[in-house]
Amino acid sequence: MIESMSFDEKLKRALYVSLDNKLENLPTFNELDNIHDFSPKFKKKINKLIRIHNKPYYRIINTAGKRVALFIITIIISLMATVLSVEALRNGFYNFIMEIYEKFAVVFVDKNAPSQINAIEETYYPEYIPEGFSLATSHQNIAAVTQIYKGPGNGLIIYEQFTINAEFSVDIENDKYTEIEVNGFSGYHFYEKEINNMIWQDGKYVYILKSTLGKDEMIKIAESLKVKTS
Amino acid sequence: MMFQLYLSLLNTEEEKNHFEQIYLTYRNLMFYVAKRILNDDLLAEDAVHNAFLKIIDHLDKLKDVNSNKTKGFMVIVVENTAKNIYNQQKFNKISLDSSEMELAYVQTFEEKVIDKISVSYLVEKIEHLPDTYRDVLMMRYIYELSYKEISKLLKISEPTVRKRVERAKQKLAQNIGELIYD
Repeated sequence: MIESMSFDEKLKRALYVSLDNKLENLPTFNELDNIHDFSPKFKKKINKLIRIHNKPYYRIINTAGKRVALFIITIIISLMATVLSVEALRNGFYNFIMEIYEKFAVVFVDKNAPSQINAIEETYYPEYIPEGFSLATSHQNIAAVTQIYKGPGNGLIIYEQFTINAEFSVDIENDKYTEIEVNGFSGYHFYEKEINNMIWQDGKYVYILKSTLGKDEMIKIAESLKVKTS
Repeated sequence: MMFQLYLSLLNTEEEKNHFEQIYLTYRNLMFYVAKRILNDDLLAEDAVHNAFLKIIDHLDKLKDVNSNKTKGFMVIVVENTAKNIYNQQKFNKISLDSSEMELAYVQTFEEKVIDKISVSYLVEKIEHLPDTYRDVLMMRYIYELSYKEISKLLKISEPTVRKRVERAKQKLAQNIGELIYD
């Protein structure tokens, strides 16, 4: 009997049935329970992917084409800190290692860096926020602090603090950056069309600031970080 | 608009975990599928990882983690990723592109032919198609992916995807047409 439906509908329905047939021939999940112990290298890569994906603004950095372009330029950003007030820094300089993909950069601290910490012990918040901006969202977990401020029009400030051994992504539109200095600690500012990114570290924590604001105003916010006292 | 999107994504814990759930559910199955093609643990892991890099862009099409639709997508993507790796290993690139270039095809013909047969008969004919053709048809018709999206998932050019879809339909029509018109 010939079913009465459009060509596309008929083909789609047949393909669904065919897909079901194909899947029926595969082992069940239970049968595959202990099929393989994934290697540490694989687990590391996939955990990194999950962490990046779990970032609230992941989708912004993940438009088509960005992730698949796996050309990686690894650059070592030496931390040229001029103020060695943090104990960890006394043991030497840390390096940032940044993997620049087509449209985002994954940044992590040099694994050879000494005395890394796993949890945020002091929470820093910006004291200076430009007029007209107000806190929209704030959340914190053991290894990250995030605050988002909304401002006039589409004004936006995203402030984040991470433990220095965290891995995180910075969304970038190009690989143009300039060096910046925040309270004596050096970092980098990525020029973008809509959202500027700024990243720096103080030897214990890594800080990221993203905003619609200009570089000078962002540095002012960055330099106003103070430890939260409860 | 970009900024509203930033903000709208802040509290989607469920969505944040979605990818992880998919990963935990399908990693073993994907490994199994990849290893069946590559016969090597490490290469199969590479295939699984590369497949997840591709899948992460299409989570909106995989809302129900445990559905056959999601499962099928994971299997199709990892299968094709593994085949790409296999071909790279063998330095043996798929030569479909050139054969597809030879096609001169009137699309309405296959539609007319397929209209004349039942779904169940069509299923049988689909299952006799080479995987290469069946997969692009599934991606196009089940997952409603654009040619561009398919080209990125399969790492082939967009014109090749178009030709492959046409070729797949032509092949189906040929097989069916022989019976109907002979």
